[in-house]
Amino acid sequence: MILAAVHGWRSSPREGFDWIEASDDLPSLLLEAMEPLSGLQFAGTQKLNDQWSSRMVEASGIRWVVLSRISAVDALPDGRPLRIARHLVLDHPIAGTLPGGLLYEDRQRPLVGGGGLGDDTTSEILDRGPKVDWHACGGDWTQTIAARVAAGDPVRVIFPSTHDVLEWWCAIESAIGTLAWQRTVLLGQLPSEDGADVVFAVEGSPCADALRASGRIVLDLAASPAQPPTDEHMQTTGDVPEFEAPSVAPDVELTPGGPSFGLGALGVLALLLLGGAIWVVVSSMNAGTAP
Amino acid sequence: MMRITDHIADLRRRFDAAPTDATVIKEAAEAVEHLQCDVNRVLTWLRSGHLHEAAAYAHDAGNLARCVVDLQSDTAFMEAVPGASSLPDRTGIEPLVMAPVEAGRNESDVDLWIGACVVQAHLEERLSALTALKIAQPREAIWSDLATPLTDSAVSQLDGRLQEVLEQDDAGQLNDMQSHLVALGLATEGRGAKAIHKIEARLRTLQTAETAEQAADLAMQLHLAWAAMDAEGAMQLHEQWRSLLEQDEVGAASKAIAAPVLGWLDARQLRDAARHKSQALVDDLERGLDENAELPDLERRYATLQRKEIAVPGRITTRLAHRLAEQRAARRRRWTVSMGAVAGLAAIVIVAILVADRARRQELLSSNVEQAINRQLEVDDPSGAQQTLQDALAAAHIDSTIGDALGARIARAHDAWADRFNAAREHLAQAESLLEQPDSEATFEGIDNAIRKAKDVKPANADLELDGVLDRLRTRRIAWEKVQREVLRPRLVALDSIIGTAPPAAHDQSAWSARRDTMAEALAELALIATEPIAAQADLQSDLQRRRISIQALRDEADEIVTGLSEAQGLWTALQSPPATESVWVDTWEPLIESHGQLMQRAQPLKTWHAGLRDARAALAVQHWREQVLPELIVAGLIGGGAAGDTGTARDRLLEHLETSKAHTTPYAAIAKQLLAVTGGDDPNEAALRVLEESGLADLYRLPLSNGGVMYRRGAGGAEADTARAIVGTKDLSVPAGELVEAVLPGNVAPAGSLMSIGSSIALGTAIEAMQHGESAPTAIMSLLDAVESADPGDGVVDAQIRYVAMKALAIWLGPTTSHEGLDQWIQQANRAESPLRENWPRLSLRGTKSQRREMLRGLGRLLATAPSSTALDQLVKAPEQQRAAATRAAAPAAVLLYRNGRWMVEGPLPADPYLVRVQPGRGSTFIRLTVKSDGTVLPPPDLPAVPALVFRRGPAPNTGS
Repeated sequence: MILAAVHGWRSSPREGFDWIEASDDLPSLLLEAMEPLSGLQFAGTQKLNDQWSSRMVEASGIRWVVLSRISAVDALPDGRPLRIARHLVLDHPIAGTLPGGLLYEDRQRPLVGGGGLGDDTTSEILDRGPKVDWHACGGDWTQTIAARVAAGDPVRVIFPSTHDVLEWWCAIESAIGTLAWQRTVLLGQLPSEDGADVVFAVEGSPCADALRASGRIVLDLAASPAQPPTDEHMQTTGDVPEFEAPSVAPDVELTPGGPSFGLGALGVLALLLLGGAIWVVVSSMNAGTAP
Repeated sequence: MMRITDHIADLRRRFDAAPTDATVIKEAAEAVEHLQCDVNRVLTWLRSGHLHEAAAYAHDAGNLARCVVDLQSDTAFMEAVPGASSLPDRTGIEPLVMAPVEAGRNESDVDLWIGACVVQAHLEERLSALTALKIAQPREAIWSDLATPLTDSAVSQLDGRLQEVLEQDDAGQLNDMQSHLVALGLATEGRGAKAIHKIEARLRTLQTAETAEQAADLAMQLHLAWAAMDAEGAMQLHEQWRSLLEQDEVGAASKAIAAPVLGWLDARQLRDAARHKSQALVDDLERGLDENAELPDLERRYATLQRKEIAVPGRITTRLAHRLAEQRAARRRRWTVSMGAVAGLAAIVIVAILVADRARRQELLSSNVEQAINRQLEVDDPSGAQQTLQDALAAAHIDSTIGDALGARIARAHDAWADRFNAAREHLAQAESLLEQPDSEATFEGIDNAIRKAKDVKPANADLELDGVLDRLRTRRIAWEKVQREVLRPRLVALDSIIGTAPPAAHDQSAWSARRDTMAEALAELALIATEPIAAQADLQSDLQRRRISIQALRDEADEIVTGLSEAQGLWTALQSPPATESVWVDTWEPLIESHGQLMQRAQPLKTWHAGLRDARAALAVQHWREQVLPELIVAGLIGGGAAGDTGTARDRLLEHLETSKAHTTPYAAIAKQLLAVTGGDDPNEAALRVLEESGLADLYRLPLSNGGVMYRRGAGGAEADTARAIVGTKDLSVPAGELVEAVLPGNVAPAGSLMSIGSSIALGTAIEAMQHGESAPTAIMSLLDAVESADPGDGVVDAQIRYVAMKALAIWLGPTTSHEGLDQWIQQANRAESPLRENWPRLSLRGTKSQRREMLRGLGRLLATAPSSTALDQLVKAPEQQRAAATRAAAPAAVLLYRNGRWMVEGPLPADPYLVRVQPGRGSTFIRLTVKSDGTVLPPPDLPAVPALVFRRGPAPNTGS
């Protein structure tokens, strides 16, 4: 079940920012935890591009998946700017869909009164993916960026404005697969001080300017749209592995490998035997009458 | 513009170069005139008190004083230039020289003034300098006077600029203008102060507008922070907002915008505080898990979280559950291990007990076998021990090692048994051989020794005939001892006869000495008997010891008596004639009397002893007479015929002598009484009354007792069993009734009748009362004696005591000078220690036996039988006064005649015509003349008793009242 909660300006019973809509199934601790997410990086004095994010939030002993969308709305008569935030809340990742896809579908719904998305509303975005034109970037960076995201490295990318940032993310996450649920993704938002996994921005947005000004690692795909991806597109500070630009338009599928523990079958068998022996001993010791 | 001093210096140089140049001289004349004007102006200012102005002007002009002095020293110039000679002289320019010094207290201000005073200086500069000087020297009115026209001019010039600045609304320019006006000193002046006020009002308006704008901006920032849910930023802005609110310049619109933001912050703070509190509880639980806290503590913390409905993170819940499971498992493991350990220990203990019990049984059997063998060996039965050992080995009660050791011990015992048997047989043979020899103590001793040795070494079960030898020995020894005892018997009988010899007379010293020697010889004989062999027997030893003790006691007694008799004899010899040997030694024999009294009584007949004792005490009286009485008599003139003195002291000495020696016998008693009669003295009636009163015999009652005795009581008051007034001793007679102590009746004695009066006691009280009312002593006493004779009820003891007291009082009344020898002798007899009247009759009546009481009554009867008859007493009292007066009128005492060392001697100065006075009752007095020999001794009448007597001389006695 995908639940929805909307945080924005209310004029009654008391004027101010508060939850406009919230499912009764959402615990109060989760609402408290989502409250700061509702206004992240809202500057107010300039027009706010829609911002999206995907993150895991722990509340009431559960790690929730929170998919957020923040948009500017009309200011108050006295000039005070307003914003509204719509959050989709999942108590577990949903198989068969991806966070960007859910946000892409939810953008079609109104911010207020849109309700939640049921399990049956999962789209097939993962299968089809948005139509993204990589020519402006000099090549298809999907696999390159997806590999970084899947590896857990910080990824901060500025895309050309040929697509909005959500579409760029949907294209990337389709290559990442279900690992995309595990990452914190900020679309159009600057990373906070404690860092964020993935930050995407489009050229011309305040976020893109801020990314460039921050001096942190940025893969600036909007800087030289006519050139294929080369090392010149990279700016590094040295604390993160550099991107490797694809040599050809990569349509290569990433094949995620299984976990390797460094133990062979014999080791596993030995561990099983040892565990069984310990279990037998402990069971025999516990077999007595407990006082 | 060149200063005047510099200009004149230039003209002087030009004059030196062209002294005749008319142009130069003309310019010099003008310059000198200018110089003179300047000097005069400065001097005028100085005189008028404008010190600083003058100094400043002089400074502006240069060094005027030096310039004048230099000119006056330049003669050529002075002569050539007209008017130079009118310059002030050196004295006149001295104030000018001192002016900078006087005005230089505020050097910087003065410099400023000097600099501003030049003609070309800007008005504001001069005004600023004046302001500084006014501040530095507020009491100088000149600065204010000078500043007023300058201020007006300056404000007029600043009006345009001020208006321009006010119109520009520039806070910087306004502040600069305000500072400029203050620096010019215009802030407190009329127009200047108004300008300052305008500037300040404008600045306040600008500040209010700026604050309102800041508040609006800050309210918007707060709103944006809320929109961005930036609580930390909002909190920082909140601090700024609070400071703006303090300025009270925030508009209502801004407050309306900020108010909901502040409400959000407050709610958030409350929520954060609650969350922190919950988190602290959760952290506390997790910390307990980290620190391995006790399970109850963890459960308590978890229960707190549950009670407050605080969500616990899953990881903590998992850890807590795991911890609980661990605890349960650990408890189960501990229980299992403990039970296993207990079971193991129990098994070990049981096995140990079984093993120990088997070992103990084996040890007990082995010990029993060993003890049995030891007992058999102790009773000299090696064969039995060997059999026991073989049986034990066969039954496996002992092992072979112990069996070998016991076998060896049995073999050694068997060998020893054979050796002892042979030795006993040899001793027996020796005893039998001695039996063949003649009887003697040595032979018997040898047989005894041999038999004893044979017994000592003989094995218990050895077949040796020792008893036969012993029977033969015993028979022969009994016969031999019987013979020996018969030999000793006569010697013992002789000793017994010595012991039974009667002791000699107590005072027979020679007999006691012989007895002592006999006892010593008997002891020696006893020692010889003790050396006889038969005397070593126990019964004889006891008999000898008994005799030895008896003989030693008799010997010691004899020895003690001989020694005591010897000492008593020496003492007795010394006591034979005390008066004759003077009394210088009385102090030495008094303790001897005490220490040897018993032996002396034993050595001498009792009567003789008392006689000697009386004589000895008489010696004391003699000593008292010579040392105490006689000197007083001589001083008083009673003896020696000296001048008459105070006879009071002498009389007291005489009474003291009679009192202290009444228990003795003083040879001077008669003399003392004669002298007392001569010197008069107290009333004889009073003396007699005192004797009756002091007797304590009046008001007596008697109470019969169950033992036949009598308890006397003072008065009739109280119950009959009351013993609070009992007279239990003669001492109680002198105690008042109220002071008598409680008496104790003897055991098993109780009152046997009622309290009864005593007739003689009542009569005594009647006589005392009559004498107290003036009746003469003889009449009352004679009536008392008559009443005692016929007293009813009578009491033999009290009657006798009252008769004695009555006659004693009568003798006192008769006095010493009268002759009443029969009465005196009876009284002396009654006063003796052995007299029944001296008995403690109340005590004897209460506690004495019947025989004692009967003996006392018989003694009293015998004594009273010798008392003077009533007729004799009646004659005595008829005319004593006449006899006493005749004697004292006829002669006066002069000396004392006494018998010493076998001769009659006179003590005191012998009168020329010495006489003795002999009073014969009924026949008057007889004067006997004494014969004095050439050696001073006196020949008394042949029948004169050897007692001291008064020697008289013719003529009346001194100090006599009659």
